[in-house]
Amino acid sequence: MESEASNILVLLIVGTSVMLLLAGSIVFFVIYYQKRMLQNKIATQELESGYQKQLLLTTIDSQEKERKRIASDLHDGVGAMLSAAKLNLNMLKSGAIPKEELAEALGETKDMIDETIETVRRISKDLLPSSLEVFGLSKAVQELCEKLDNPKTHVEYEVKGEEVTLTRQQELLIYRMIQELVNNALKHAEASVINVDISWNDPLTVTVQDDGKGFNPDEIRGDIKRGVGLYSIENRASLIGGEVFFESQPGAGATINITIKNDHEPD
Amino acid sequence: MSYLFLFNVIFYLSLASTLGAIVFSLRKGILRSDLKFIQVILFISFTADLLIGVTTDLFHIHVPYIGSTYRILELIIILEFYLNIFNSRYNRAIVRSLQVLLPFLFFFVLKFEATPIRITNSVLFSIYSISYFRKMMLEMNVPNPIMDPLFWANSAVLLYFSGVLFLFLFFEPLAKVNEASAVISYMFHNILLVLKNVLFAVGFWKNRYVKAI
Repeated sequence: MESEASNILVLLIVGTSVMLLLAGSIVFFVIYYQKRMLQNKIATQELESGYQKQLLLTTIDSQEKERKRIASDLHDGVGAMLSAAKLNLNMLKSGAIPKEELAEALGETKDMIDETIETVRRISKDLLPSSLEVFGLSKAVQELCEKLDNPKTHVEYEVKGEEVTLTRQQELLIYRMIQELVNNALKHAEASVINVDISWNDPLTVTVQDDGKGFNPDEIRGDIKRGVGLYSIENRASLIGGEVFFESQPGAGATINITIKNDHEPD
Repeated sequence: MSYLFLFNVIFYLSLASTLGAIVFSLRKGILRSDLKFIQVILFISFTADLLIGVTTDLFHIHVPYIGSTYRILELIIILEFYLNIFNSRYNRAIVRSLQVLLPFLFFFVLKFEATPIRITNSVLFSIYSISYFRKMMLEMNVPNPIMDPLFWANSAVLLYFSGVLFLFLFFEPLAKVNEASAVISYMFHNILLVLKNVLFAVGFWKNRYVKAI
């Protein structure tokens, strides 16, 4: 009888202790897990806010640079030409130009105005390529490649598949991504050949490949300042439901793939 | 000091802890709807224990079915508490079925036998409280569990019901062979009851604290 009681008591004590230990462990695990997750969440938020801040600063900086460039183009190109044309016209009006040089002066003034018109057209095209609006993405990218092609760096363009209709916003975002990738290859990679491919099959794939000095994508991403360019491209791609894949290593060129599902509506 | 005296001390201590938890739940402010079920079960628990204490110690009579009735009410009310937390159609169907089926079984099939209902409550509420913690970890919408009133209420439910499972399983066999050991083992139940009430009180306290913020 006594041994039976002690057996039951042992079972009871062991069982209860195990259950309490398990329950206590669950409670402590929940506290530990939630705290750890909270810490991770805070760290991610801090990182994200740092990145957003850097992105904002870079955007403001690039806007300022663009404004400066346009101001300089207007001042040095358009402004200077128009001043010279005005001077010529004033001289013609006041009769300061001898009659025999009149035709030549008029011709010079006309040339200046023509050149000014051409400069204005170029500035406007740089801001928003008219071909993008009129002929679509494929033609605009072709024009961009032709414009950036030079004896030192060949920029080649290839298109596969039948062009599909995209919204204006999608076209502009893809165009800006290609523009930025080609500019990066020209400015930083010191490439001799840059290939731009657009495959219109689903998913739409844009590939920009160069034989330049390459980079380590993970290293660039780790540095907020240098990584902003990559993040900016990823950000633009995500706006139209796209994904960006960077394949590069130092000394081995770079291949950047952007895939976009054709049915995606821009955010 | 006899073990019966010690048993009584711990019994009245658990009664006092229940009263303390009720006082905490009645403090100024709005009590969240789910914790109101805990408040109600504490009222019932206090009344049942007080009734047992008074009738046994003062009048030396044993009123039958108080414990079993309390356990059935506990089953219905705590299930309602968990329905408030897991308010899905699926859980609603489970809770409503259990609230009808189990009391029917206890009344008509088991004839108010306390052990099966105690064990059922222990298993059921241990599972529900673990499910709450799982939900909490998956949803991640509680930034700091220590500040969450429901975390304390669930910890109370988990620790109490999982702790008393083996006590309820072996109480009757133990009482048959050695009554003294059974009484001592039930003292441990009362200690866990004190722990449960303290954790409920913390939950009620945190409910006020959250409102104050």
